[in-house]
Amino acid sequence: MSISKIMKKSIWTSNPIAFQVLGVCSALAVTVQLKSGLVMGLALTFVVSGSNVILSIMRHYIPHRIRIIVELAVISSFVSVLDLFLQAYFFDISKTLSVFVGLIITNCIVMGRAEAFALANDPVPSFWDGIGNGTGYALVLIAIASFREIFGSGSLFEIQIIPESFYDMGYSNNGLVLLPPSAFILLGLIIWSLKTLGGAQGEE
Amino acid sequence: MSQYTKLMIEKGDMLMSNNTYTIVFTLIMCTFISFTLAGTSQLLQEKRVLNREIDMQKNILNAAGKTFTHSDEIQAAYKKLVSPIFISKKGDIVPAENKDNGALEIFKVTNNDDSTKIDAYVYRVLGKGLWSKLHGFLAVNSTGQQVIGLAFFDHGETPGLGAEIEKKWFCDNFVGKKLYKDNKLVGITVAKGKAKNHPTYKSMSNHIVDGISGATITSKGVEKMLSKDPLKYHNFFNK
Amino acid sequence: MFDLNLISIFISSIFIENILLAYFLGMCSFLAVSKRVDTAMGLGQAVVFVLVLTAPINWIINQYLLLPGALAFIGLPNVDLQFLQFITFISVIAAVVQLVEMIIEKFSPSLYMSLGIFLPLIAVNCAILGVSLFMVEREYSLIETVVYSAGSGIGWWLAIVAMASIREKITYSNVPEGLEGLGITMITTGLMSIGFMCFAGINLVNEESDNPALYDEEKNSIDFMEQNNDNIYS
Repeated sequence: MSISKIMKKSIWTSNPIAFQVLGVCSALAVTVQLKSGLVMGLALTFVVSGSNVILSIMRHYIPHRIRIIVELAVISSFVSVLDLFLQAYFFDISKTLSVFVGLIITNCIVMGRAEAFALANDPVPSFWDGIGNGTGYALVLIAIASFREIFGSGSLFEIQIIPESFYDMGYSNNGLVLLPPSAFILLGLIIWSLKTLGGAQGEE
Repeated sequence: MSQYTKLMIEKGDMLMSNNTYTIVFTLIMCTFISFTLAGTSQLLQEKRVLNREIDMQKNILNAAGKTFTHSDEIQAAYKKLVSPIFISKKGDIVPAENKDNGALEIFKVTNNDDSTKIDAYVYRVLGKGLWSKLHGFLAVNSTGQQVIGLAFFDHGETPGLGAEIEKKWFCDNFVGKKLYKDNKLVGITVAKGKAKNHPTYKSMSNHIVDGISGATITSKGVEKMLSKDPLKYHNFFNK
Repeated sequence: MFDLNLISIFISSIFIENILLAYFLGMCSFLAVSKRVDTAMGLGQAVVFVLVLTAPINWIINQYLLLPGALAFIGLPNVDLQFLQFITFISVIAAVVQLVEMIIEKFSPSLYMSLGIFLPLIAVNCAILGVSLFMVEREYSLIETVVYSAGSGIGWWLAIVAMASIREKITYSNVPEGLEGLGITMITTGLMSIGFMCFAGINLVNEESDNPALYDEEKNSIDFMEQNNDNIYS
């Protein structure tokens, strides 16, 4: 498959969150602020592409019976090394990210793509598949996070967007939007719009 | 596909399901992963520990109202202004060599221009958040009754919700608030919404701060922490 | 007071701090399998079983192998292996899931067929790793871990069976075409989550009653009882 085909598929027609139903847990937890949604999206893209490449290179040598454990071992080692690295060289980022580190390991997208793509394809396409799925995931996260931050806190990237005058006129931030149930509902609405706009249904 | 290729593929499949191969593969993987993880951890150990130490120093200074950003400034200021003291539960100062497991640590922060003047006493506070423990430092004045500052250096709360406790806006609200009323420890209430809308605001304004919307459990954790932890140091401040 | 603490952990992990509806961990398999009540029941039971096995095993490994000072018994008191937590916990979980898979295949082939890929996917269920990580974070004892994992499992089971029954009923309703399947499930989960938030007001243990410090008015000092419990989670 050509790179552009892979990218189009993983971002649009087979978006990991909206259609493959993968990676939903973290999509709900970290989308209260745009900044953390973005960081999580980037981190995940990095991990999926990296582990896809490693597993794709190893794929002819992995015994069939232990393949799930091997995938998990590779993914969790990759994430652990990433975490150690951040703690040493980017300490502030690691403090925010450390919560998400555990979430990335069990993020179904990483396992799902490894299982569905990396084990059956060469390293280079697997890399792009990882980038594509990560981007698709990041885009959904950014959509949810922007909505939640604007209507829940009146800001974006922690910069106040809604002017003080609105508040004086009686407008107030919607507290419910900051809470988890709203993430569920928003996701449902996003899926609705994506499906109506013509994305395809289901896995490859 | 030639006969030869078919044979090689068959051999390959058999190899894959061969138990010995599986065991050997597993052993190789385990060794490789252990070396990578242990190696990385060891190599980066010093830097990680140093970063953590500087972070703690930065927060102790922050709580006492002194902000620095660069690690050199932080380390220099800490060395000059902060000295740890160990106290027993009864409030007596214990020399560092004699401290036992029950000893508590307090940090004495002196003034930059006058080293005999004590700007604040800083001690650790520990609270229960939604996802994690909240580790912070509380800076109090010499009677231990008034807050000079609060800083959180470790927690795992949701950014935008519980994690707001580490933000300047939240911690600044604690500056000047009182922990004691009429010599009894009342702690500080984290209101739901704005402090001025709290029902007891008229009489207790020195003991209430604005809350964080959507982070009730974390706020309650901070509240409980401030109503319990100062008790441990009560004897020290009342000597 | 000891027992009350365990009961409090148990009830709170089922209703108040439901691992799925309050911490939203374990969503993927939840969303995919909750179409029918009987598969949901089966998956829920499997998750409880895996949780009650893995959390205590992980506790033991953490306590006696990974924590700083744990390896003192073989003469390595300064070793801190906490960075291996992720990979050891996940390996234990994967092994237990493999075991559960074999048991289910033998004793209930129909359940095995209907669960399909989601049985091995229990290994990546965030809720299971999440329970082990929380157990470490909150420094629970072994008994508290057992109670907490059982409660979390039951809470997850409860949520998935509730969701499955709602979805079965919805098949007879007129859902807009774009919302069918995943969309309406998301919205339903959101509403269920709001419902469960009502439990957040329940206060099970009166914290004032445990071990108050003894305040001496005259001397203005506090006498601490020797067994002062420093664990903030008790």
